[in-house]
Amino acid sequence: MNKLLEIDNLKVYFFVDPLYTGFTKSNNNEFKSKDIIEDRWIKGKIPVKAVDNVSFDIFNGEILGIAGESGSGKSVTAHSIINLIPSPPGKILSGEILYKGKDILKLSKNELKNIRGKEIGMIFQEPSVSLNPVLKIKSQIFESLMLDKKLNKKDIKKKALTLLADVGITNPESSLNSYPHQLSGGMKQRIMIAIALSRNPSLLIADEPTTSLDVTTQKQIIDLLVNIKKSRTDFSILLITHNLGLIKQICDRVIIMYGGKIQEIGEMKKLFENPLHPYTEGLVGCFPDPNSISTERINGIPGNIPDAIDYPSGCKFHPRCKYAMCLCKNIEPELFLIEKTHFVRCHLYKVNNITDE
Amino acid sequence: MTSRKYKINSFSPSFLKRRWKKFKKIKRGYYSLIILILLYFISLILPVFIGNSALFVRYNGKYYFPLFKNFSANEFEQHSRNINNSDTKLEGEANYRWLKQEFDEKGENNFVILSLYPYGPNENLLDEMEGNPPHPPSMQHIFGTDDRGRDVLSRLAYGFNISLSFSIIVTFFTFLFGFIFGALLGYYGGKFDFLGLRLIEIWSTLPVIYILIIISSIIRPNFFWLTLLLILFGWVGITYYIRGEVYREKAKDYTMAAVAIGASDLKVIFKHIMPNALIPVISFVPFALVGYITSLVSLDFLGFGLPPPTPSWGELISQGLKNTQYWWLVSAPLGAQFFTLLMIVFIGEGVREAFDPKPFSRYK
Repeated sequence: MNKLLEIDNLKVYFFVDPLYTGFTKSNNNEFKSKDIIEDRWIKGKIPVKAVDNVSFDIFNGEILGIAGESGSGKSVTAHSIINLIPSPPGKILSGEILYKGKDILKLSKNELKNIRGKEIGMIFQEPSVSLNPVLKIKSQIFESLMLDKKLNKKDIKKKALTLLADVGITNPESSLNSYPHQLSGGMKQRIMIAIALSRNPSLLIADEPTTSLDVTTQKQIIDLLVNIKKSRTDFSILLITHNLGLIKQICDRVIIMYGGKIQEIGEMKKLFENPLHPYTEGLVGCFPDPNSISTERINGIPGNIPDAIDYPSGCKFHPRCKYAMCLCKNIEPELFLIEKTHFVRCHLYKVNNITDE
Repeated sequence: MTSRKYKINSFSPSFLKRRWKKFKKIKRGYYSLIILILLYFISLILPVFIGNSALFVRYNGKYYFPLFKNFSANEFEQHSRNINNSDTKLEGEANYRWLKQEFDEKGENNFVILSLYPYGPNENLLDEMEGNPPHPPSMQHIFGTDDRGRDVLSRLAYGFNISLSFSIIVTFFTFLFGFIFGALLGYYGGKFDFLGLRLIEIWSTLPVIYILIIISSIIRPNFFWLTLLLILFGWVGITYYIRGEVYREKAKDYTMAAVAIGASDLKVIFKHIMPNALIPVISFVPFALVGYITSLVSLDFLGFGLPPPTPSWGELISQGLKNTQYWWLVSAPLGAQFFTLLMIVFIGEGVREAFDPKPFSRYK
């Protein structure tokens, strides 16, 4: 399989004013020395390490899931793929995002416009706020189609109608003439998907596409995504979610993120059958097997996700980890290769360390 | 088949259409708008209704249209009917009221059709009225004449056109520039916003009235200059509002979604953000109209406005102030201004109500 997108050592920090954080500036010391402080607005701010040295690949024609708790850096990773980090306060400090060999982070604004929407489409969390409330659906879909500049008006309308029919909208003609507030959440999300697909991107980033929808609609939207994936060749989906059930249904590979770092990457089946990282284990343990009849209590992961400003030393998960060792408190583990395509960031597996990732 | 109680409306009325429907329900504002628009359109073709040039003259088998072309008195071999020394030959511009009297007396085939109220705004009526100006109201002169013997109603009507045209033009351009600058400042932010805002702050602290007075003492400003000056100083206020609105709107998800499909900056600003940012600002428009009418009136009142003999309300009010014993000189311009502004305020109130997303309600 070919690599469609390669993310290498991506580091995205958000710089916040210490006034609003409850921390003093002394935490900032480590930051002064090695990282570049070329922007003046960074001065005196505290870095929130949203994404810290994340590397992974997306292959042609796969569905890759990123799972993790809120605040683990999933969405920021996804947004930085099309360089959509608001700056200030965010800044992509280092890293490469190679899309078909081109580094997206080094593209000019104009080149970026040709990547956004045309090569990489994106669906957002809340369809109700992602559509412009004062514009008709028509003008929002047409806008995206008109960016290609090849189609005339008739073709645009025809294409919009087929797009809407493709995403399962029953009466496309009248939906075109309605405003976002007249449609239900599921319909809006379908329209967002239609807009994202309108320019035939080869990668679709779905940033928690089902979070704000109810369960039956979630199912429909997920089925829709799978169908879209099946009906297109060389089409990949990056699915960001905190819903493991969803990942289990459709993903080929899974990335588990925690504290802005990848904790485990692996193929979906292996990861669910044999979760290696204690955090993954906890997550999978929280996910009841619908087929089993066991009456055991589900034990959640104790504790809370740490503050992104002040991560614990060593492994970021060690305060909540039931296998925590002395080593964990001091040294942050590397991503260890367990077997082909399965990596885990945990000292428990250091023994197996064959290569350094 | 089950019967439906309501028909499905597959084509929803547009946003503005719904607002318009709501506005129509507010009777005060709606009727004010109709009356004002009607009056304004009448004032655009005012010489047909009020004015000293006749609509149509037939003289010795020839036809004349004095509305479009001025004719001298010689053209009709007109005699003066000056009350002081009559029966001399009239020189200069033709006087169509006298011409009509002359034709009527002679009883030939010639005739004149005058406009409804045949007195011009700048026309001196001392030659045909007895006594000293200002003359009190009469059947011929509904609001009397002013201290130079000019008809007050005619001056008021022409002044209405000038005031309203002036304020509409100024409002349109101040809002246009305010929108553009505010949107750019709000969207790009950062240094551009900082510098832009400081410039605007400096600009807005300039004492506008004094500058206008100074400028108008150097050059006598005509209509064009006065609009230009007020636009120059007026766009600042609206920029603040728009900038704030754009700041708020650009943080919303639909902006991010628009960027994510690859829309250009200008498209994001003017297609996606602007309509959202505009809504809270639209209700300012009628009040801005009121403001600019008032400022033109006050400039005219102070004598720094439009050059005489332009018919203007401010000039009439200042006459009234000098001659308070002549009640018609005081009440007519003030009343006209009062009712015009009242109607615009009613419209403004209606617009504000119509754009209010929530109907008024209160907890018990």
